[in-house]
Amino acid sequence: MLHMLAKPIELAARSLHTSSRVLASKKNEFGISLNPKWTRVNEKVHPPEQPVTPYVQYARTDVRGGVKKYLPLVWKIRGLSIDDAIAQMDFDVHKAAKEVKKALEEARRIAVSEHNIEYGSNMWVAEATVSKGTHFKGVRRHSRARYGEIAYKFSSVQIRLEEGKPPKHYYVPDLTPEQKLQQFKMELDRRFVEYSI
Amino acid sequence: MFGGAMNNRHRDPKWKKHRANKVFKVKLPDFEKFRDVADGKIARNEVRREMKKRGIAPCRKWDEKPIFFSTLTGVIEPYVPPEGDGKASLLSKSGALQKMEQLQKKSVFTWHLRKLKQFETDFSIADFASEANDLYIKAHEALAEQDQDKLFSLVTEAAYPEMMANVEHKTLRWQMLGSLEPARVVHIRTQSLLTNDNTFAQVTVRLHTQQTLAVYDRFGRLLHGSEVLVKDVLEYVVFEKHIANLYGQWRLHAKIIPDWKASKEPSKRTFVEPEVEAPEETSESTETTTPGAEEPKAAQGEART
Repeated sequence: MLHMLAKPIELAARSLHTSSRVLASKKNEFGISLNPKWTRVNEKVHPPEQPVTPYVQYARTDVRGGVKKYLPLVWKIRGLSIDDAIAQMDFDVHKAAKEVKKALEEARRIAVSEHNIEYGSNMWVAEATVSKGTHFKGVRRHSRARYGEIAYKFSSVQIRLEEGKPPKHYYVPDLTPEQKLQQFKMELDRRFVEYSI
Repeated sequence: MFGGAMNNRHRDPKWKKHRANKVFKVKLPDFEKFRDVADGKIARNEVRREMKKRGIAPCRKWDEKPIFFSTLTGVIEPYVPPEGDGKASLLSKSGALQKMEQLQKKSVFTWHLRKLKQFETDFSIADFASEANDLYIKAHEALAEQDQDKLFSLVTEAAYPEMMANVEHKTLRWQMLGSLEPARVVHIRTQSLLTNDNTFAQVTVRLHTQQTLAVYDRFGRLLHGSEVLVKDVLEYVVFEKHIANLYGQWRLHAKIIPDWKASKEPSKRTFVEPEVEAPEETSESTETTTPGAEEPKAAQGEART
């Protein structure tokens, strides 16, 4: 009965289950948040009865620069298609635009490789926000034995991409002259003049 | 607030260096580099070199790990399903040959069955077949519900990663509608590990059933199968038990996939083919190949838009 001894050692070596269950940590060994709250929606599974437009959220945490440096940039790209947004960031002279561009490209890569979105170009920037990240304090000498504080600021850029073409208007558009006239007339009609006839 | 830039240069550059010295130097962490390390863009040995340069000792590892043999990773002498099973009749030539082969293997079968019964005194082949069928249903229901704890109690540690592969963030709709033929035990093998009495048993059960399966992705789009299309499924499922263990339980261990199995139905969704880098050639032709390699990339970029 040779088959009784059929490679027992080899089978044994392969059946060593030595890995213990590792709890998911919020930050990695370098302090980068691996799973920020913004990206946690990517784990949500929608039931087939209520399908949604495919979307991906991505956060680039602790990029150099304060919120004020990033805000005008994220205002600029909201409601643009992903290619247009990247092009905008490409031609922007500000240093922070490079970081936003990297965030957009990474979000697109994740969308295509992990979330079943077929075409990387068929997406638009549904949301783009920026929030305060880690700040470091520095010191600067003043005269008369006084000191001033310097803040070294980091921010995080959050992006949400949705599949499809961008809407015609993301921000509420300005009123046309005709619409303004209509509005003015409506206000006049609605006014209430006390003690009038 | 976001207006033009203020000129923050001093009119006299003479004391520039002295003014700079007023600022205490702060070493800021390079988050960008950390991110690259976390993403695996920087090689591990390069990180080690960097840590060594800075004189940072690696943190102590907890190397002690408990070892417990709860399963065999492989299948002992896997059952070879007869070709055309479920189709070839006993009266046909191939059917008769299959029956002959089965009879020849009967002695080995009974030897292992006797070995199994040394540990499992009340083991009955007929009862086990129906028990295996129930176990199969329970395990697959747990998989469809993605109830990981329940699934872990029903399948072996070897089978668990295979079953859980690629089901993350997906919705599975699975139903067992009934059996076309009663479940049947076709194969029994036992094996001892390290010591003679530390024995595992593996029983292969033939299941001929009707099932439906539909897989949806995270957004509720259909990836594979259908919820209404009923399919006949013929499977050879291996169940395993650590019979030497007093608290051992029968668990789903593996499925035997025969060579003659028909190819799988392709995925319903389509994807853009990923750009695969050409393998590096010898140093002579590197300069000539690089401009050529860019052309297909550009062509693909156009195809995407």
